[in-house]
Amino acid sequence: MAEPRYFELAVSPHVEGHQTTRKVMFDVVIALLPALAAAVWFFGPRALLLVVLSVGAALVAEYASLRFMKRPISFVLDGSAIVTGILLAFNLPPAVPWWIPVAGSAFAIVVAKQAFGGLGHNIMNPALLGRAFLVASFPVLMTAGWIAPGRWQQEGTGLTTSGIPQEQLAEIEGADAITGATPLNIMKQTYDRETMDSRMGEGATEQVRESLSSGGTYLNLFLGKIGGCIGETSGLLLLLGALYLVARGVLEVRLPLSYLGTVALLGWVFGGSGWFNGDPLFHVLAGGVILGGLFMVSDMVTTPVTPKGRVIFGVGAGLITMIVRRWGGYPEGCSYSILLMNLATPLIDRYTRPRILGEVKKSG
Amino acid sequence: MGEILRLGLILMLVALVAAVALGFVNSKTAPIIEEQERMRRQEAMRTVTSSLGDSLQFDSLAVEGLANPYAMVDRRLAVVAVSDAVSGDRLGYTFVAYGKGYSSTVQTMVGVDSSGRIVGCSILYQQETPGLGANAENQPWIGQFEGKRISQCSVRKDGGEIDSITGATITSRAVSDSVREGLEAMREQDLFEGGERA
Amino acid sequence: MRLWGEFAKGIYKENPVFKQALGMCPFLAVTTSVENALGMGAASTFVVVCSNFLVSVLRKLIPRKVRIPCYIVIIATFVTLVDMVMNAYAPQLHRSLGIFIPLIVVNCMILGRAEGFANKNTVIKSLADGFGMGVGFTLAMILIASFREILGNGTWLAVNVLGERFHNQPVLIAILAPGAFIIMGFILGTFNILERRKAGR
Repeated sequence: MAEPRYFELAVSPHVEGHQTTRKVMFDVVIALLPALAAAVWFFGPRALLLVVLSVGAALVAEYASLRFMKRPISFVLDGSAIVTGILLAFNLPPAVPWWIPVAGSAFAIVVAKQAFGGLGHNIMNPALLGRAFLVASFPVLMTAGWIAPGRWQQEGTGLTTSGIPQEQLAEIEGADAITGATPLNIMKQTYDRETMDSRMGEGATEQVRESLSSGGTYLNLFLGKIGGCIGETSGLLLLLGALYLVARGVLEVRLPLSYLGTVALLGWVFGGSGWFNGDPLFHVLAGGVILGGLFMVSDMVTTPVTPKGRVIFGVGAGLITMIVRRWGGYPEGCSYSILLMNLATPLIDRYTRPRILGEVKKSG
Repeated sequence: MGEILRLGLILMLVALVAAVALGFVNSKTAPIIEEQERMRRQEAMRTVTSSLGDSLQFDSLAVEGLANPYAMVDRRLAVVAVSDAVSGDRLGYTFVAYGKGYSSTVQTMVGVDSSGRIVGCSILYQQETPGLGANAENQPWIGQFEGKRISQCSVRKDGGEIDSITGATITSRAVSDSVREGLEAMREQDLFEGGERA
Repeated sequence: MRLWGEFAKGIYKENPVFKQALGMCPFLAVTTSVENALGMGAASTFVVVCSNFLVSVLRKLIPRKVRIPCYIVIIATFVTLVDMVMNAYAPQLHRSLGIFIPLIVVNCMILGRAEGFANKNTVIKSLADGFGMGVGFTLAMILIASFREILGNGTWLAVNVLGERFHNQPVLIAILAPGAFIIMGFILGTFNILERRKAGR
């Protein structure tokens, strides 16, 4: 039997870019390497092992799905599975057991990507959906397992998971209660002022808040010397990678800027104890916002293509992130906000489609 | 006009037959259902107070502001007094605590001794997430209420001594807060000996 | 034999869930354990058989114009009967199926059989059809419930099948709502592949 022939169908404009999936994906991998190095430095070789397992599982799952669906096996090497694997591992707490990244990657590739038709057809970001699957399936493992950076090298390195410098922590009464949590966990607790004050003494809430917003903490947050998911902690190195992508013309800045800008603005509006006294810098630096904003909000397949649509996407995701952080059940809402906006992407594209030249605007 | 009347009559006839059939079955099953519910509560009452004695007597407590069959409405709750069946000494109380959980109102049967110390708890009803909140039913978790006093009866996050179920803080809070609120309401009525305070 | 055909078509060829996509609400909502699936399946089967029977008996007496209200009353009556009887004699099951027992009323499978089959076929045929549909529905529910209970709790009919370690750390999502949709997707996909193989060569 003759092989069926495939014709390539594409809508206009028929201008071919110089980018190929492969080139783009390997640029993204390169951009993620600095943050990976930071992860290994802070959380130990175990972080690298988890990333490798995740990527390996993603490749195997990709190969198996393509085989099963009788699609060209060469897609395995387009690099997209590698990126998914790395991003998924970046979203895991560093102390999870080895099979967590394997299960998550397999789910991300098989269910979130290939079941929808493979690269370009997936509705939601596979890595984030893989993470959502893991959080729903293994809530205990996925919400604990934070490691203090540098802990694997020696004890007592002066680093805490909260990012608050140790000497500052010593001044807060009852602070031992907040040493094992990520900065966002602590921020979440301070929203319930009454509880925090009753447990740690009058005025503790304000003291903790001040420490979270102090220069020493900012520095730790920016460098990544805090507890958190494997690849999300180091804002500096993620930014470095993103700059490389911008220089290569892979990353379009509208999405990240509108997303991070919204988080900062809303962090100031309601990210604090009252209105208009939050700390925008803290909200941008803590948690997964930088990783999400630079590498997941900008995923080409699952985000809008129109310039206006991209801004809407970024603002919407930022809004959801901050609402979850302030009032939701989880301390961090970055991944869910992006998944939710992924679902809205076709709608956004539809309503922001540019008018065809010469088309008369319908008045209504 | 006649057409509509005819259709209406037929519909009415169908509904009438249905109503009669249902009424009949209901008259047969309602007492059984009620009896079963009563037995279940009785059984739960006995379990949570089993450490108070062997032969116990349960009487609805008709304290002003407390006796209410619908429980916890207007911050009142139905308290059942537990006393020794032979000597008649007051040994403790039981009540049902209603707490709003993640996906249901969790009902907890609570037994306390006369000093206000919890002697037993068991979940009567819950529809929480299986594998997470639903684990509240299991002994290792609900069992930790035994021996607790009012002030200890909230989750650790809120400054109490109850360990929350991992991944199900809302359910843990619902149970411990509702139990505590019930105990507080009873304390306000001076039901506990020795003026149990925080 | 003709009657056997009316019965058997409900099990695979015209399976209410997999082929007609009817009764999705209970199919997705109560299949967290095989026991629930069995209880729900039995209750639905009872209702669909009874309503098929009565609708078929009354098919010449019920005027076309008011047939739908009549069917609904008939179905609702049987559902309420099941609700009361189950509450009285199987309280444990009644508690775990909760709101979904009264919701059998709106299970499209039942109204679908009344409107699509029982009102134009003989009583005997309608009974066979209702029974087949009920059994097909039950089997479909047991199938998805097996996946969900084994993956999400490590047990099958409350018997531990995957060992203590898995039971303590199961793939929880399988018994949560998204798991129901994902597993349903895989089952439907498998059915489509089987169909295509059969049709193809």
